[in-house]
Amino acid sequence: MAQTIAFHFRAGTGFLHRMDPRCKIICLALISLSTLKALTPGLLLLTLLFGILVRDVHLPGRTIFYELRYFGLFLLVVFVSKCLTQPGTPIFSLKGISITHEGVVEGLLAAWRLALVILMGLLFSVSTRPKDIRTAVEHLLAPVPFVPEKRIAVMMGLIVRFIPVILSTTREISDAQRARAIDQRKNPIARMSRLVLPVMRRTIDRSQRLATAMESRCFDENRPSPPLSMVKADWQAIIIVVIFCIVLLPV
Amino acid sequence: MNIIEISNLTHRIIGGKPILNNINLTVKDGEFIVVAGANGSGKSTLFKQLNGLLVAGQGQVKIDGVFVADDLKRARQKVGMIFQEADSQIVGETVFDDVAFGPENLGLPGEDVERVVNHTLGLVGLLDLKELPPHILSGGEKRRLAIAGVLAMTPKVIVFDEPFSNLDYPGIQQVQTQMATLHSEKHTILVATHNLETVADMADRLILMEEGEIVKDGPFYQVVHSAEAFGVRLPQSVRRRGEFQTWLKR
Ligand SMILES: Nc1ncnc2c1ncn2[C@@H]1O[C@H](COP(=O)(O)OP(=O)(O)OP(=O)(O)O)[C@@H](O)[C@H]1O
Ligand SMILES: [Mg+2]
Repeated sequence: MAQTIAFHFRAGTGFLHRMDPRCKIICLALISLSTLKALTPGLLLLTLLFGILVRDVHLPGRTIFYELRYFGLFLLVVFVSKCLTQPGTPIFSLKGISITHEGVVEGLLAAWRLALVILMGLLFSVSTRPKDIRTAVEHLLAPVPFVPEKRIAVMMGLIVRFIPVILSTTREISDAQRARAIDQRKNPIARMSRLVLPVMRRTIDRSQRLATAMESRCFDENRPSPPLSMVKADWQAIIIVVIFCIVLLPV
Repeated sequence: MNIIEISNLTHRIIGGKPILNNINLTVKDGEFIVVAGANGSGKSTLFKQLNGLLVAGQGQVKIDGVFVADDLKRARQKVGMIFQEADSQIVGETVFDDVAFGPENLGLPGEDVERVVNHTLGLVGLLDLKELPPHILSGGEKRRLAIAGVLAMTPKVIVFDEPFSNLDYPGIQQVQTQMATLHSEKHTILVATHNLETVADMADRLILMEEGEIVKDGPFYQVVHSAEAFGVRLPQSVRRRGEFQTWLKR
């Protein structure tokens, strides 16, 4: 059952699992940024890095394909649109639409970059508990003035928790209205408002109940955040990633 | 030893008639009490007074000898409350995080939280699911998770508001088993339900409410005959058990 939830944490004991979540966020950001600039050699290196890390978190290839099946379509769209829009020497043309050599190369690179960013994100979310992500964000935001980091962390958690609930409410209400022939109405705005208003009302009701339940379990916004500690390996990882990115940028 | 003492409690919404009217109630440590009554008779409102989620204008509530209003945190730790809709009381992104929520709020250190959570999940039989996001659990599992979230705060009194709604038969049985276990471990239990059959075997005492007042209060099988007069269905099996018990007494 656990395998069917996309981008969900899987327990493990590898290097990535033990790494400090703050450090993972920083590394993920650095790697994603440099991926967007990198060319073929850099992308090859990053793919190699991804290969090593996949072994570290023990993620079977089948699971990766399964989790990313919807992104495949997205990558295809990116590739095709690059193919068609990039000017250059045409290799094939039909009725004024032409696919260029440059377009294919650019399209492949773009799709590769995007795939790497998504895959790195997958590694991050598979190896980090949602709660640790929340704690890490709280710690990273703490030095920023005028940012209520505790409130943001609580909100992040509740969003992750309640998005599926709100989606299923929406589906339920929309089904109930289709059962009463809302499709027969021509005006799309009227149709939308019939859906959006009840969903909002249900969500507000639910958030009131949620607030009551949190209060009855002694919720206090100013509770101390769980401690995190960076060990030597974490600093090493950051340093390696920084060097990696500097090397990567020109190639 | 009285764990709950309510005296002269009247709760009214501004400008309206009272939702709770002059409630007097004492509950002994370890009792299993069923509260029944028609929709809108004030059961949920009464329960919310027990841990200070609502505070009445008149009257007082004491938990374990201390006024609720004087120490809300203590009252909320002592009185665990399980609400009608499990989905909107589960706050964690995973089963584990949800159960950890209460102990963390109480300021327990990390290792203790982990120990308490694992122990509690074991009690309700959810240990294998602890890394899962709550939205994929079944109705019965969600209800047990809600119970675990409350148990992790080691309350003395556990209040269930309509715990059987929306559950299939196995789900109902799971919750019943949980209640019976808690009762045998000397927890004080209050249950609001329309389904007397599910709690008849466990209950010591039945309280019937109507329009914000306690109209009947006594040993379960003595009071149960009056249930239908106050909008609560009296199942045949419970009626017969009641008749049998009165006959035995005679
Ligand atoms: N915030 C409020 N404002 C106005 N009236 C309220 C409020 N909360 C509750 N009531 C009213 O108080 C009465 C008692 O409500 P309560 O929820 O306690 O009943 P209940 O016995 O739990 O009913 P049910 O069996 O439907 O759960 C109802 O008539 C309800 O309309
Ligand atoms: Mg109610």
